[in-house]
Amino acid sequence: MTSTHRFEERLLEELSAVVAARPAPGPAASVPTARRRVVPRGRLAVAGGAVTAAVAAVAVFASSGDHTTAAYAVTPQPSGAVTVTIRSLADADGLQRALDDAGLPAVVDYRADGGGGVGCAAAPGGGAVTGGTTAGGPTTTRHEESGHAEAGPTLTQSGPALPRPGAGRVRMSTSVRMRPDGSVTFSIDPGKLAAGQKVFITTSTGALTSIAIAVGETRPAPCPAP
Amino acid sequence: MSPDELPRIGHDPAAFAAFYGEHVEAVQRFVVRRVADPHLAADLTAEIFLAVVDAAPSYRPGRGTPTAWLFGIARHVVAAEHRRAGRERRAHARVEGRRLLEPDDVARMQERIDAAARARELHAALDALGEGERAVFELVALDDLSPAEAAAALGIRPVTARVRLHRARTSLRAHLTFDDDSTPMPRPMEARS
Repeated sequence: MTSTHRFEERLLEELSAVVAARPAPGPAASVPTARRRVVPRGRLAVAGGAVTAAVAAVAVFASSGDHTTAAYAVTPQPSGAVTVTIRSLADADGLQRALDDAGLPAVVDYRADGGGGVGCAAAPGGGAVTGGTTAGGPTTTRHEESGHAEAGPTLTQSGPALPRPGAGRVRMSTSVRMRPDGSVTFSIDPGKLAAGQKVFITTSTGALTSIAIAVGETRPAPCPAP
Repeated sequence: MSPDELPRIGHDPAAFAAFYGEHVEAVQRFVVRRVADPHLAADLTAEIFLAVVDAAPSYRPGRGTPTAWLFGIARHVVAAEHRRAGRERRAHARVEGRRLLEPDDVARMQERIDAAARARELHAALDALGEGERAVFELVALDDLSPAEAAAALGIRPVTARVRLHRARTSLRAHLTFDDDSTPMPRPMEARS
């Protein structure tokens, strides 16, 4: 391949390779169809503040720049599960919509102490399993910044299934893995959710490293202070 | 490129090449109005086009012209740069722009940077503005977007953009150069080639 003399031409070559490697849009393209927006009124208890996006108006997409750095990716798997990768805490609304569109009813709230901190599986909120990343601040921060190639820690937590009159009981294990690039990834099978159940994606500290996933009908309460 | 074709640039190399050719110079100028280092400018140029490729499938013509959309993305990428350490950003980059620079390219980028010195001064002076005012003012005064395009780039209503623009100009009156009393807004602060 002959070398090109200008930065702009070389950059175009590299970018064209990126574009060529991307799949053409298929039936699962990002155009959202009819959105299922089910808010089980009276069954959704909220801890410490409103659920922000459950009935939000349509948000502006890429022109506002929110989707541009691919804060998240929602990928359906052949098994029926949905793999979610979160790279940054931007655009909670967009992720929530994308999950709804993928058949995974979700509530995404990244605010600090939106609920669901590590080890709070025992909090009331319906039978649920919470998978959380380690809230070890300094270690995790160094891990993100150093970009090591090692595989991130895999943490699997199976919380107790809390019997509650009338509530669905789900026993499911969800491993939340942090990758070397600092992104967080997990997979959930929508078919395993009972009617009325949602996935709650929250943080306890407002940072990606404290992200927690919970499944239930109602939002998990924030961790009680130690 | 017509707005209807724009979503294709995310997966169609020919469409992408056409879009890139139309906009690569404008993107580089956008970047050098904000950063003074040629290597960083190359990195950000690459990042902006990668972000464009990611965002293209969700572009809708009703949300603004391709230029407004592009500048909204560019703004987001450059703003994110200030919040991340350079080493971390490069470790995650899919295409490192600076690797593609030869000495001639560095010289040309430096020329752009020099031409944009006044713009960078103004950009620094904008710290005095509120975030919303700053965003609109930058796009109109530095990047030569119309207020309507700036509104589209930022995802706000045109009337909101005009109000913020007016407030910004009032706040910055001491810093701006007006070519005559009848011109309500300053010229973009760089030489055109």
